[in-house]
Amino acid sequence: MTYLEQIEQYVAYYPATAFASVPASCGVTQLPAYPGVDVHVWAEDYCELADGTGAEIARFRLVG
Amino acid sequence: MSLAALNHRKLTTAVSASNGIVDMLNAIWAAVQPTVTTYVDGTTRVFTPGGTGWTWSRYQNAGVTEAVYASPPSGSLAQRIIIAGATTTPSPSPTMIIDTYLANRLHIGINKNSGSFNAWNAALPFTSGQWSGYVQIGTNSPTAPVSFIIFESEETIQIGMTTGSTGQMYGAGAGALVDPDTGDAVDGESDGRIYGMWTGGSSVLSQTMLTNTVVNTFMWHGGSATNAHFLTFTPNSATMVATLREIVITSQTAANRTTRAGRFPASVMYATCVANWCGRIREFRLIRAATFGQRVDSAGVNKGYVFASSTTTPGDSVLMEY
Repeated sequence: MTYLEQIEQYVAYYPATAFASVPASCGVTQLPAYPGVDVHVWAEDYCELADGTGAEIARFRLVG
Repeated sequence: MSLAALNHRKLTTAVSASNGIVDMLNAIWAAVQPTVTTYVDGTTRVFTPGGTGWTWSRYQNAGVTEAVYASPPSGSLAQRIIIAGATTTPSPSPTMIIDTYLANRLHIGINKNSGSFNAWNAALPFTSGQWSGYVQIGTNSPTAPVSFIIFESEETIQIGMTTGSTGQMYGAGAGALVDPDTGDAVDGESDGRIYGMWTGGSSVLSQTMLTNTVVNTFMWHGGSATNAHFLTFTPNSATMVATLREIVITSQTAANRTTRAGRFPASVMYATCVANWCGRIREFRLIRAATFGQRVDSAGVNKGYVFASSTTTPGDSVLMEY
């Protein structure tokens, strides 16, 4: 699975997702299947999903 | 040149008081805690270099067990293996990989180049190093009774979890599982090993687990949550890559894994990564159909223990060499 597919798989599982922070190294800057999710690139090596209030929902690493 | 051979030892089976997450973690703890000083065959559990006894610790939150984690008796990369879970989702939520975190379910992860224990749900549970993320083991409230049969070697841990009274199993393992066996430095970590973890996922192992892929299988990686997973660290990196055991035959039977003289051949097992050769799965061998936990002797000498899908019904089997 691509990085994008992995991230979108998590977003599908957590429908409250409004924000997705993703590692810069993964190259993902938007989620075409979820245009309402705001993608933020950060320096951490894991992803974090948050809801509309900014509350963290899930954290995950990507399979290379 | 191959790494030093691993020697697998079997701990006493621990029966969980219930199928709840806390009781399951406490059962694991009962099997592995440092006061356990012998293996089922009566040999001493040695916790120092050269031995196979991992030093396990238990983390309790206000007296409630949420994690058990282990340090190996030897090794240069400070690996740690952790099994964790809780009745709720902690904050921050545990960092997963491929799977989602679910309350009331066991999860396993591995860290290399570890510092001290931080928090099981921290982004880096061992403060520093490279963290795998968690994958699931089994389901929420698996059918009772639940018991744990755990094997230790110098650098790996394998876990069998029985569910119900019919002998079905969930399985998982972690550690320095793979020997690149190539002699090329870039194929392994600085210590020549490849570290990783595997889980059968939320499905029980199947009697055809060495033929199956994705689910009901052994040391295979499916790309969706709850699938079986086998992930290894890319050497000198925090990246984990999908890893697959190499399928060498599609249907083993007791007959075609027995020689005319009545011996049981034990074939070396290999793994591949998504874009590279991975290596030899250390001291795991394909063997004739048997049951989980069974000890295999040759002329009265212990040759190893069986990892299989059931404690009662013979099926695809792997010998973990003694």
